[in-house]
Amino acid sequence: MALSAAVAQAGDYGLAPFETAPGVYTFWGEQADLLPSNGGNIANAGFIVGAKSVLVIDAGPTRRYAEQMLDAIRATTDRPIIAVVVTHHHQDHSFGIPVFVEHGLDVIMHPGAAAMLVRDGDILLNFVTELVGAAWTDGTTIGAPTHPITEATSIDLGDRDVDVEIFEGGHTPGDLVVYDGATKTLFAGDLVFNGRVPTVPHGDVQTWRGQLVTLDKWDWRRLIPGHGPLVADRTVLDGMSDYLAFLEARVACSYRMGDSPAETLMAEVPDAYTGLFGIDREYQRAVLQLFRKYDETAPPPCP
Amino acid sequence: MFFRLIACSALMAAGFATFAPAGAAGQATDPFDSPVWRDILEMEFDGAEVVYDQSIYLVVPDQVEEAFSVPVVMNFAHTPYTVAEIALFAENNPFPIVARIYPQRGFKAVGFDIRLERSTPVRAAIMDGDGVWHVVQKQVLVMTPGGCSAPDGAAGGAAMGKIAMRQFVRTNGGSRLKVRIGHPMHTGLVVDDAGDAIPAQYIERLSVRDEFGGLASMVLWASVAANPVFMFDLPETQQSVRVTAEDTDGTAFILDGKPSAM
Repeated sequence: MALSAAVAQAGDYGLAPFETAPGVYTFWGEQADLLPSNGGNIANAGFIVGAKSVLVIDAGPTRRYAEQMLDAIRATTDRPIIAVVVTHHHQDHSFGIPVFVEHGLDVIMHPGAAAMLVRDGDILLNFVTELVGAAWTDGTTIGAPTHPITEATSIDLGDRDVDVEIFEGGHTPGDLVVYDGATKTLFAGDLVFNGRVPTVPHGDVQTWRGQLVTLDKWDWRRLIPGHGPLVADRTVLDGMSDYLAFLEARVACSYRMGDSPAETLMAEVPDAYTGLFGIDREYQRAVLQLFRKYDETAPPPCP
Repeated sequence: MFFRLIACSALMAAGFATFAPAGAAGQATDPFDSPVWRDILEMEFDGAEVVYDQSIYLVVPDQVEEAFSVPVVMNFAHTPYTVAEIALFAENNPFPIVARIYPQRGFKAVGFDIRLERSTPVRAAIMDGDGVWHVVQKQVLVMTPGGCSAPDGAAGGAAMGKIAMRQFVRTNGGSRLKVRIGHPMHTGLVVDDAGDAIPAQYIERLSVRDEFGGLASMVLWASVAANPVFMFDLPETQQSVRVTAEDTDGTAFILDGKPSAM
């Protein structure tokens, strides 16, 4: 996969769009933790260029990222940017929103995601600043959509109609995906993680697995995941679904046996998942989070 | 079913199979040679005899991501002496003493969730019937420090004072009682959005009794996690449990109930 160029100094993301399909560009994030060396650039973003206008997908992790992304897009095409679709509320996809608003662009987001951003935005921003350094996050503020949407929407960019579809309650309360029919390219946001362990704290595992089945049936030729390299092979979705099923079953069975999460965490993660980026951290987080969830609502049956 | 077997056998392999034989000789000196612990010994144990051994099984993750709620279990299933008193410490916390537990009759395990400010040895000290303290420790690496001083991601979720009980039949016999108490357990070290410190307020006294009599009373400090889940392994199945808790503001919570089975 094409990664962003090595970063010369804090604050400069060195963003270079990669033409994934004709008129479809991706800014590939690093498969890495939030680090001072990457400024939080760990998620993929992109844009689609039509005959008349340009649609951006995701706003990036900081104000600086969004400003540099707009510059990089303008260096690629002189067609006007009309809007950004923010796939969900997590910081690595949404913290650039205010830059788009200031430029008078439409910010499209699910209202459930907007509500999560209101709830968690400041805490997330402090968290990111602590990890990557204020040199990257200076000036970053929490934004809100100008166009909250709860129904699938088609956006006309000139010669191509781009579809924005809605997935609620799987990965987060409100995820959007963007489909370019002209090239059969799907920006799946964080509904799909490739080679990286999916994060579950804001969603529901079974709902998410159902959504992966839906995505699997769609007529896409290439899928740009929220994290990790380009997906051309549909087994990536199956593998993700398997991990989510494993996670839920392990915690549900363990919870029903009366284990403490400390005891659950002693069991090894199966080999199939040990290679996923971030498994050490996210698996533990997910186990503890599911235990807390099952304290509130009964766990699903142990399969 | 597949996973049930995996989880169970992993527990056996990782836990009880590696148990030191009952009565295995301990040592008189701290295996971590920690000066912080030396000070704690002076303050908390007042010259009592201390031995470092493997007489209890201390379960806590080696590496912790979310430092504001770290599950800990102290298992006495193979402990060769009567457990007269339990003290738990996280020695690099702002408040190293986490809890003192006074058993009123035998139980095979006790556990709850704690805060870790930074990487630290977690130590369980168990007093036997002769007044000797047996110390078991485990080093815990904290990846994201601030479990006592950063805004707490787990503080919401449960209503203040709401107590819920569940009971589980254990595969190794007996039952496990879990008691969850809704409480933010403010440490006094967290600053709110306006820049003001949130005053300390945490449950400092907790006692549990059932139809067979008193089970345990506990004294807790600010290193216990928000909305803590306390668990006890017992030989009997409870029909009726009373939980009494009191926090540092003097607010008392009492619940009488029958734990729901799962």
